[in-house]
Amino acid sequence: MKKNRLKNPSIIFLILVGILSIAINLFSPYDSIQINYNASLQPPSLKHFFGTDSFGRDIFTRTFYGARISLFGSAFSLFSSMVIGLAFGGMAGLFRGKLLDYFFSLFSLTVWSFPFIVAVIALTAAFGRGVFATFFALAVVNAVLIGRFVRGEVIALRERDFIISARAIGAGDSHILFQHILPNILPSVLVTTILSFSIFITTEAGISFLGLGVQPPTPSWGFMIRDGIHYIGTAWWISFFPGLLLTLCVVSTSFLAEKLNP
Amino acid sequence: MTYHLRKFGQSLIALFFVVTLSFFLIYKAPAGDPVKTMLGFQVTEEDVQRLRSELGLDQSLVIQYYIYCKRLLKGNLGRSIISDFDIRQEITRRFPLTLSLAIIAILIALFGGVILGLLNTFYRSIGPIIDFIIVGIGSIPVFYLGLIIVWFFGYWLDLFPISGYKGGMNLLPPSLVLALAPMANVARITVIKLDQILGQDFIRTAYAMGFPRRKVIGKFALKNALLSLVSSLSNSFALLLGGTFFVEYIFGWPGMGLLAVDAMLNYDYPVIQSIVLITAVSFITINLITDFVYGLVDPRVME
Repeated sequence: MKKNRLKNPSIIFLILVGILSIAINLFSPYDSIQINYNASLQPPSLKHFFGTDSFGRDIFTRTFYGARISLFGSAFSLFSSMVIGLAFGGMAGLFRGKLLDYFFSLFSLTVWSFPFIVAVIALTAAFGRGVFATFFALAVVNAVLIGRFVRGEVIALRERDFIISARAIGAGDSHILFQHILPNILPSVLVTTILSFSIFITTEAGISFLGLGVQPPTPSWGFMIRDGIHYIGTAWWISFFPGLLLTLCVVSTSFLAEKLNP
Repeated sequence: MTYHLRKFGQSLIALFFVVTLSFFLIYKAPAGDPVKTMLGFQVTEEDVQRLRSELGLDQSLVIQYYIYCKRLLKGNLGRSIISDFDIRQEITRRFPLTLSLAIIAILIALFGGVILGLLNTFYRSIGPIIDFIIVGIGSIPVFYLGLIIVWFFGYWLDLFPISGYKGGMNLLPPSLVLALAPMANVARITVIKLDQILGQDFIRTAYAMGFPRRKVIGKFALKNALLSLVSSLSNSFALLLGGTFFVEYIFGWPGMGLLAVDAMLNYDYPVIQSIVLITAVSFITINLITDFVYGLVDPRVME
């Protein structure tokens, strides 16, 4: 089983991109930020695999630097949103009808009144843009979505016989939460979380594309795609390659999620 | 009736919280004090104080909130702090542009999605290819796809003016780009639902009665799949509304999305606030209508 999973091309691709992004300093002689006008706007060649941008920076190097923020930032904020969502959703479900549950329900009702990406963009603007604001906004909105899902699952589980029996023999809330409920909902929460990974990297890139996320000169996929708009007739490679890598990462995550989804 | 009332009540509560949230968006905006943004850099402390009291920013939180709600009820959205235009006028001017884009896009998404879903179910041999297409068009970020379309049709083939609103044909490229993500969503749901329905007894009966496969899938099964499609429309609309920000930016389409992006880059908080509010109100309304329509076509949910 495990062997099969590792053979999956999506996973191989994602791991490869991850490794390349960490070790890009070893592979590339170019700096990701240093400006070099002598090499400005060069088309893809053996020297610059993906060409250079208007400041003469190597797009190949910058693309994989950008992958660091995109992939690892998304993974980190996704994981935190899962933990927060589990905690709040679990408590709201367990203490159903109490004050905490009402607060959570009203909050999630508000968040659900927005399309996902609009909520994230608005919160990013409110937190004062930048890469941390973006990931923080993503984590908050996603935590609410996960929390709502968890709450529903917990409420469904509460009525099941094995929980009622555990309560009958005197088990406390925390024992029930960690010993009985958590193991039961964790698999489906994990699948939902992995499904969201592609949404996270697309949204982060989208917000950077609008100029609200990662600020230049730090390389990011979204901002590089935005950068290329002005040169679209003359230097297509500026936005083509970062976008291609982004799309490939999203597609592989989607295929992975399709496999996991029963 | 209770079903309608409950849904309506939920929407009202959501609306109230959206208004509150949009209020705090300005009140607690950590980045850029609106007053300083308005006045620029060369200001004295007195100027700042004067403007603060003019805007009512020196009042207490509760009073500000009360003034804000009263203003909203009158339909007054305030003025831009950067360009000093009346926000309501600006939005009424731009809203139809975004709406036309969205309507065409949702039509393309529905037709395209259902056709893709039908093709997938009908011709099993090309199923994997269609699956790949569905995942593919659902995965390409809308801003990247838009850029490629602009490059391909605008520069390479030189078919249409690349940006701006000029009416007629140039409505099509942006709405096509906007349609793809919801289209993938519709297609995926059609496939799943058709698959479920084709396993049910009445389909077996239909086959046994000698109906051709074309009719069984294209008529009996599709009809039922379309019902459940209605309940998932909210998702498609969410993708659509989010996509307008990017599509309008790329195609230079002077709608609400472009206004929002400009406002965010300039810290124009009243404009951001108004657009957040309008988007949420539109989305809540769409969801309410979807719920009602779903109640009409499938009365079981009303219980």
